[in-house]
Amino acid sequence: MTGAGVVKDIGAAALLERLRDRTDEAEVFGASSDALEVRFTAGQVKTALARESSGLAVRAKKGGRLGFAGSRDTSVEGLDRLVLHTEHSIDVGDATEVRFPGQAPAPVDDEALGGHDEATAALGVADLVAYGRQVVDPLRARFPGVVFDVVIRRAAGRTELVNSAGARVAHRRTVFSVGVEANRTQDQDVLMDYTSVAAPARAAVDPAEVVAPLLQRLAWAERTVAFQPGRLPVLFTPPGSLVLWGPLLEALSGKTVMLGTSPLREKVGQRVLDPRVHLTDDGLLPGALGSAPFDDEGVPRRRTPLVEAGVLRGFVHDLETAQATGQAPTGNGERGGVMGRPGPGFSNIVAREGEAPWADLLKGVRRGLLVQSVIGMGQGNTLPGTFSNPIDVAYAIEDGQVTGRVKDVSIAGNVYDLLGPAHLGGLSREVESVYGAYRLPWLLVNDVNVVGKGGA
Amino acid sequence: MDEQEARHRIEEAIRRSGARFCEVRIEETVGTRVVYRGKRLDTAQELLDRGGFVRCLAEEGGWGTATFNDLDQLPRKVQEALACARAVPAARIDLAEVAPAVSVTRPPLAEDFRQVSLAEKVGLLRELNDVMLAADAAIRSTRAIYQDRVQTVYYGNSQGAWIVEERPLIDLYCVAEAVRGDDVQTATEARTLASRGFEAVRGRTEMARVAAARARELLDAEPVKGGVYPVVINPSLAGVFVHEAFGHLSESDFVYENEEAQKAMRMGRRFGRPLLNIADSGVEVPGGDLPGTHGFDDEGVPMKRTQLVKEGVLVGRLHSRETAAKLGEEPTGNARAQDYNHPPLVRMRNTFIEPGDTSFEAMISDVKLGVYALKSRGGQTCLGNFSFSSAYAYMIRDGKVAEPVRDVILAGNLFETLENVTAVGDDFSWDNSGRCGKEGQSMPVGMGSPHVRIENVVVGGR
Repeated sequence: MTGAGVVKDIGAAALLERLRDRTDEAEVFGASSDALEVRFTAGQVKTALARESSGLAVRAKKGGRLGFAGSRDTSVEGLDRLVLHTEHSIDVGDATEVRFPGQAPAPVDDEALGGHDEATAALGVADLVAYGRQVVDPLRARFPGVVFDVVIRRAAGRTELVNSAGARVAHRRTVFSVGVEANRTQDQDVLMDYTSVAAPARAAVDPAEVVAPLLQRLAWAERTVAFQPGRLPVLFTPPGSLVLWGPLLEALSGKTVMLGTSPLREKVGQRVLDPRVHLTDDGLLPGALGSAPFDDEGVPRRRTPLVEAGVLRGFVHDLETAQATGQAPTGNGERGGVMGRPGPGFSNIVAREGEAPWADLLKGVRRGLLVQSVIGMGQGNTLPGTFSNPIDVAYAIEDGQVTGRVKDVSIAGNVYDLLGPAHLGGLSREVESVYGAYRLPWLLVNDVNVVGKGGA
Repeated sequence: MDEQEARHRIEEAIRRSGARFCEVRIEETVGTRVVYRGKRLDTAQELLDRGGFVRCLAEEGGWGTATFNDLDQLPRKVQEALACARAVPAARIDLAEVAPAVSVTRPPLAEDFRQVSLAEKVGLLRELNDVMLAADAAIRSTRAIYQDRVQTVYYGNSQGAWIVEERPLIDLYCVAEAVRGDDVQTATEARTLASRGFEAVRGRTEMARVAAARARELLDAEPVKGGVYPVVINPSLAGVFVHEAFGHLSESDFVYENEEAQKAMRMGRRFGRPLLNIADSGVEVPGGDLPGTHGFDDEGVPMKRTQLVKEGVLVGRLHSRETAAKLGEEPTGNARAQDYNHPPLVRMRNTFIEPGDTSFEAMISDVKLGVYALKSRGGQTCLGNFSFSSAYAYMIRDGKVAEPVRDVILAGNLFETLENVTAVGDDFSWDNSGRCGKEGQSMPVGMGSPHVRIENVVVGGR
C-alpha cells in the first residue's frame, strides 16, 4: 500500500551546505508526510486516499537582508531554482536583526511527549475501514433517519530544521483523527452537526467516546422548540467556547502585538478577565498535537502563561515578533507548511478548570441557551473582542434541563466583557480535548445578547 | 516538464493501470508572494509546486486515490490508488458519460507576470502600502498582499481525454487597520484577477485610498443595534449572499446520497418570487476574466452555464460525473480541485443573481427603518442556515441612507430568506475577490449580483 508511515529524509542538510557559501546565515526547514484517509459517505465507505508530500523552505540572510523561498519540487532542477529564488528574495528583502538560534538542549525527551506512535503510522485501509464502522454503526442504529459522513485519517510526518548557527533538530509525529458530520434533513429543516477528535495515537481515540457526545446532541435535537430571545445565560460546550476564546487568542499573538493592533498590547500585568480565568500555551503537554521539543525555528518549546487569575502575563512569540517587541522568543515559531514563512502560532491552549461539574452549571440555568457551534466563527471584525454569529447547533435550557433544539437566533457581544466578572458565571470541572490541541472547560456566561425573530 | 513528456508519462501510466477507470492530473505551479505588514516587508518570495493526483475505480470497490510530489513515482502511485480502490468495500460507482476532450488552453497574458522581476512586484506593493500608511494617523498597521501564480494542469483519463490548461491568477489585497484605544477597525479592498497579466494590477492606488478611508470611518461608526430589519445589500454582498444562501445547496454532493435532501431540493420547487433568477457559469460572461471560468473542470468535463433558479423555481443543480450519474442528470463541469493534493469536489464557479428592474432609489424609498449593507467580509453556510457579514453599512431611515453602522452580520434560513427577496436591482456587478472553502479546499470563485432587498433579516449586534 503506502509507505506505511515511513517518511524520508529530503535533504535539508545537503541544501544548507550549498547555501553556506552564498549567504551569511541560512536556515533550511524540510517537511515530509505520509497520510492515509478513508471516507464514508452516507454511512457507506466510498473512498480511500493516500497522500505523500514533501518540500523544503529556506530562510537566509546576506548583508543584513532577509530572504525566503519554498518548494515542493525536490528534484535536482527544483533545488537549483530554490537556491536562485533565495537569492532573489534576499535582493529585495528588508534589513533584519533576527539571528538564527544555535543548538539548544531539548527541554524534554521527545519520547515523553508521546507525539509519535508506530502502531498508528502502520494502519492500513482495512484498519481505517474497521474503525470507521465502529463509529458509523452505532450512530446509524440509533438514528436511522440521519445521514452520516465520516472521515478516518492517520498521518505520519517528519520535520527537520538545520541552520548555519549549528541547530539541527528533527521531529516525528503521528496524528489519528476522526471527523463525523451528521445531516438530518426534514423538508425545510436541515440539521448539521459535526464532531472531530484528534490525537497522536489511535489508541487514545476510543470510538465509543467519539460517538457518545454526538448521540447525546442528536437526542437533544429530536425536538425543535420555540425560543424567546433576550439577554440570557448561555452555556458553551468546550468546542462552542471557541467563539469566546478565538478573539482573545488573536490579541495574544505576538504578531498583533508587534503590529500595534492587539487591544492587549499595553496591558501586561493588568487584570483583563475574571480572576477564575487562567490560560496557558503549553508546548510540552504530553499526548497533545501541538507538543514538540522545539518549534519550527529551532527554539525550545515551553509553557507560557498568558492569563493568570484574570491578569495578562504575556504573548506567544516567534523570533521576529520577540525581537521587535523586546521579548524573549517563546518557542511558538510555526510554519503552516514549506510555502510560507514562519509566524507566531499557539501550540496547545489550556484553560484551567472550574469547580462545578458541567451538569451542575446546566442545572443552575432557569432559562437560557446551550451552544455547541455557531455559523461563521471568526468572521467580522473580531480583533477588538467583538463577535456576532448566528447559532448553528444550540439548544434551549428550561429549569436546568435541555428541552430541544433552537434555530434562527444569533449571539453577540465582546469577549472581554463576557469573560469578565460581570458576566462569567462559571467554568466546569471537566476540561475536554478539542481538536487535539485545546484543553477547554464548559463556560457559563450570564446576560448574553441573544437576538432573533421571537422578540428583539 | 514539457507537454509531450507529461502526456507520455500520463498515458503510459494509465495504459498499464489495469483499472476500470483511471484519471491522472499533473500540476506545475510557479508563483510569487509579496506581503507588507505595517512598514515591514513581511514576505517576498517565489514559489514552486509540483505534484500529481491519481484516481482509480477497480471492477469492484470504491474510489482509490493517491497524491504525491515525486513525479517519477507516477506508475507506482497508480498501482497504489488501484490497491486503495480494491481495499474499499463500496457499492459500484458509475460516472456520467462525457465525450473525451483533447484540448490545450494557454491564455495569452498582455504583460506576463512570470517575466516581471520580484523587485518590481515589491515596488508596486510598497506604493500601495505607503498610500495606506500615509492616509491617516489612525492607520496603525496594514496588510498589503500581491500574489500571482500560473497553475499548469495536465489531465488525462482512461477514456481518452487529454487536456492541458494554464490557469493564471493574481490576488491583490489592501487591508488597512485603524486603531483608537482598544478599538481596531479593518477595511479590505481586494481583487482576484483571473487570466490577466501584470498590467491588471498597475494603477490601483485607489484601492489603498479606499481601504484606509473606510477603516478610519469605521472607528466613528456605532455598532448596529441587533434586531430584525428589511435589508438592502449591494452587488458585492449580494453575490456572497447567493453563494452562501443558495449556491451550496445546489452542489449535488450534498443530495446525491441523501434522499431527504433530494426531496427538499426537488426540481420545480419554488424558492423565491418570480423576480428571482440564479445561475452558475464557468464560461465567458460579460465583464469576464472571472476566477471560476475555465475550459474544463478537474474531471475533464467542459464547463458551461447552468441555470439554477428560473423565476423563483428550482430548475438545475451542479454536478460531478459521479453525482450526475447517480441522479440521472447531465454533468455540468463543476468538479473542481484546489490542487493535486485534493480530489475534485462539486464546487460553484461564478454564481450570480440576474438583474431585475428596480432602481436603487425605488428599492429604499419605502423603508422606514432598515439597513443598507455593503461588501462582504466573510460568510458561511450550514446548508439550511447561513450567515454573512458586511464590511460596512448604513441605517436606512425614512427611505434615505442615514448614519454609518458597523458589525453588521446577517443571518438567515434558505427556505425563508430567498422567499423574502422582494426587489432585484436593475444594476449588476461582479465581485471577484472571493475564495470559497469546502472540506479543506479553497477555490477561487466569482460572485455577482445587482442590489437586492430582503425583508425580515436577523441582524446580530451588541
